Amino acid sequence: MIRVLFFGMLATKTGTREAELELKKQGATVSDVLDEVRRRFDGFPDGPLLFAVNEEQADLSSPVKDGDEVAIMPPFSGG
Amino acid sequence: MDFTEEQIERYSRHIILPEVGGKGQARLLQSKVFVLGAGGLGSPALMYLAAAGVGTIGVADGDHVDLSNLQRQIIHNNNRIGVHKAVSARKTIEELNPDVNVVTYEERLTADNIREVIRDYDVVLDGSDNFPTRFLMNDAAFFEKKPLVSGSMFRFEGQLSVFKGHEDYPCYRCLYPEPPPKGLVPSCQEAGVLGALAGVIGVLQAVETIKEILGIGEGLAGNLLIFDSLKMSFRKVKVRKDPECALCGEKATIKELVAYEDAVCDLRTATK
Repeated sequence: MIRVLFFGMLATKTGTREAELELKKQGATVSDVLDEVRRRFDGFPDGPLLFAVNEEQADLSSPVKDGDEVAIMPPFSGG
Repeated sequence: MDFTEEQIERYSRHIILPEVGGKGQARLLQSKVFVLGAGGLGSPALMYLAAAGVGTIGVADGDHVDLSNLQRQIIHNNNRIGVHKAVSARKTIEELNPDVNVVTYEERLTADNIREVIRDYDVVLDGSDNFPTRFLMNDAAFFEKKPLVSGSMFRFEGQLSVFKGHEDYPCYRCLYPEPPPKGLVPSCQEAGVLGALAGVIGVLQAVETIKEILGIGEGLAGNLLIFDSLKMSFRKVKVRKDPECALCGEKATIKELVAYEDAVCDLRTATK
């Protein structure tokens, strides 16, 4: 299982702050997580997103394995 | 520098701290901090920076105080409705601590003037409320080699970091290379925001600014702090300098300030 965390308007759009995903594929990456999230949540935004795997910044090609926590963070503009 | 009797009393709780001491307090009194936005984040940040005795505080805001601001913008009050926010902020600061020299910028900050404005300051603090201004501030701070203490909010959540793209730390663009398309991320005005959240994030910005001036503790540079007030949880995510960053990377392509004005319909210099 991979735990995915949604922040800001991503939580608003998905209606949840976290989700659990099963990635069957070997050598899965953040990109696979994002694909799965998009499949599950209609209208998941495109915009610039920051990813972190286990609280360290990651990019789309970063590896993700069972038990990892993937955070997806949009920028906030409010001041 | 020599303190007056009044200053020794006023700053006694600082001076007694070994990490601050008379030397650190003198450094605060000689420091210059620029605050972009006298809004939700700027209000508490400005008040604590003023109380701490930051010697010169620049306040930039292009708006006037509106009744809907007072739910969170605590540097203003009922009697200041309609007053220029930078002017209202100066009044509050002057009443709080006469040691502080307040410089107000009531005009809109643009790509043409922002670098010159921040040049004289030691630390810059971003409490603006829109992406064009956030990117402008980030780029200007990078070009002028100033630490940027950045805070932002969305409803019940806040983000905080210190960007130092001119050093071996990330800048804002290392996290978010470009502003999101218009309409993708709602503003506070559109989405709402918990008033007291502005206090949490704005005060943390003041804390990081003071640490930066004093050179004490571990700064937030290289980390993004995310606060969720509903869960009452703080998360710290390690962020890194992007070697391919268009601004601070090895093959940077941004050589001057970019104006994103046309990307938004409702651009204000700072907070509303």
